[in-house]
Amino acid sequence: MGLLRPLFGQRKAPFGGLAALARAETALREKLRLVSDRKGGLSYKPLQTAFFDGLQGEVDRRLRAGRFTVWTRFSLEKDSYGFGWVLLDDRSLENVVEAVQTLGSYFAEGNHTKQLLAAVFPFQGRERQAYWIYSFKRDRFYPFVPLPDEKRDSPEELRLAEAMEKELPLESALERWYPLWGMPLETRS
Amino acid sequence: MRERATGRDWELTVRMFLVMFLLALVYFFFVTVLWAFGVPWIFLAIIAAIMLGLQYFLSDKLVLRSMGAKVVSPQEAPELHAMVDRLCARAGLPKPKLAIANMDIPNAFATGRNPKNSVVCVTTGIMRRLEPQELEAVLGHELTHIKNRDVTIITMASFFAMLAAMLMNSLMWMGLLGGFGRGRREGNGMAGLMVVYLVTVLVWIVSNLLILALSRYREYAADWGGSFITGMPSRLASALTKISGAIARIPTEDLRKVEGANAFFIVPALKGNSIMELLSSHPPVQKRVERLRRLAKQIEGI
Repeated sequence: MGLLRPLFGQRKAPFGGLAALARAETALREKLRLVSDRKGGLSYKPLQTAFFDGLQGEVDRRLRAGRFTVWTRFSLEKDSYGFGWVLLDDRSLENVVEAVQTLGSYFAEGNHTKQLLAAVFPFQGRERQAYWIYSFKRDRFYPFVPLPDEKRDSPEELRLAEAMEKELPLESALERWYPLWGMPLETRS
Repeated sequence: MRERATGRDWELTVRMFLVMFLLALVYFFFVTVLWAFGVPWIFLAIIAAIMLGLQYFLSDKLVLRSMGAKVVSPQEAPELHAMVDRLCARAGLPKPKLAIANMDIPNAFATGRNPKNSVVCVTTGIMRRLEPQELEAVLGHELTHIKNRDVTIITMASFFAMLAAMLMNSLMWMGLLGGFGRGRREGNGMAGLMVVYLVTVLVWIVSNLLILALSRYREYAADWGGSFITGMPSRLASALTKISGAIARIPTEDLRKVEGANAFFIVPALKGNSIMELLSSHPPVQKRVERLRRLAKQIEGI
């Protein structure tokens, strides 16, 4: 079967690492006092094609087709870098993660995996907002704790990553922990 | 070097002179061997001196260009200038030019042949990662390099190592062309060539190791002297810890910018006295931090 896989396409669901975040919700709260905002953002690099022109309608259709559609609210935004964002808002982190997975699969179907930048999940920390950033390309997470003036609290990020070593598929190359400054994401704080 | 009552570590100074003495011994041995084999070494020495002179007089511009650094005016970087103004006043130094290199790697270095023609350069990466007091401590370290004329000293020390390398090169060519037989001892050409060649290699390796040792001592000296300018060795210690190891590897440049540019970022070779270098021209950060902590106990009473 393995040999035929290239012919029939990948059987395994893409972005399998994503679901780990939903499973880690309790650990995040108990070990690190990080509480999910139950929001998410999926960032992509748009192209001038029909796929991206019809994104609004298709996202709506896909999210409705899922199990949790009633609750998933979404909006499309553009940021100053020219990247597009699908902003998600739901009653549970699990639903948000599932919505991101659904949208990721939709991009993959359209052969637009390359255009997927990252998914971002905001959390309320004890002192400040923290984010887990998911890289579609690497199928891994890394933490991001921004400070004012485009600085970041790297010691805190290292602490978060260390504590979640078992629960999350982490990006081990620290050089790839790229920040996302000024996301259009609204948080609950 | 101007002597100062404070900020001078005598043990380090003695060790530095010892290293320089050993360097001289090695060079002397080298020159003797060359003399014995009748190589026109004066000719090579002149070429090496010209190249070294160029490097010496152009070093600041070369380094800044290789880093893509831009000299900034007080209007462009008021806080940085104010910081350096304060430190120079305290250290009794003429104010160097200030430059900023737009790169995410946290680094700082000083270059220039004398205090009047010096440039201190910091990267945007180091400014983003350090607190103002830590940045001040790093600048104090760099200003001490200028005060101690470390660029000149290391350039001078490199002189003979470079000469050895050039000779090694030209001997290889001579060997290939078979033109070495015109030495003093006819028929002994090939064996003689091998001996000179091996000795040259040895000299080159040993002298570079000694230069690295010299450079490491100068780093300790700059940590020490810089601490006396700022009075905050513990800040330099925390700055060093921050810009080495894990935290330095975490980028501060936006993912969208990196994705958009799609650029291959090549880390340029650094010259001059950078605060952090990959090679062992700098002592291990841990050791530097230990020394700074000890110093902090003495002068900060922590």
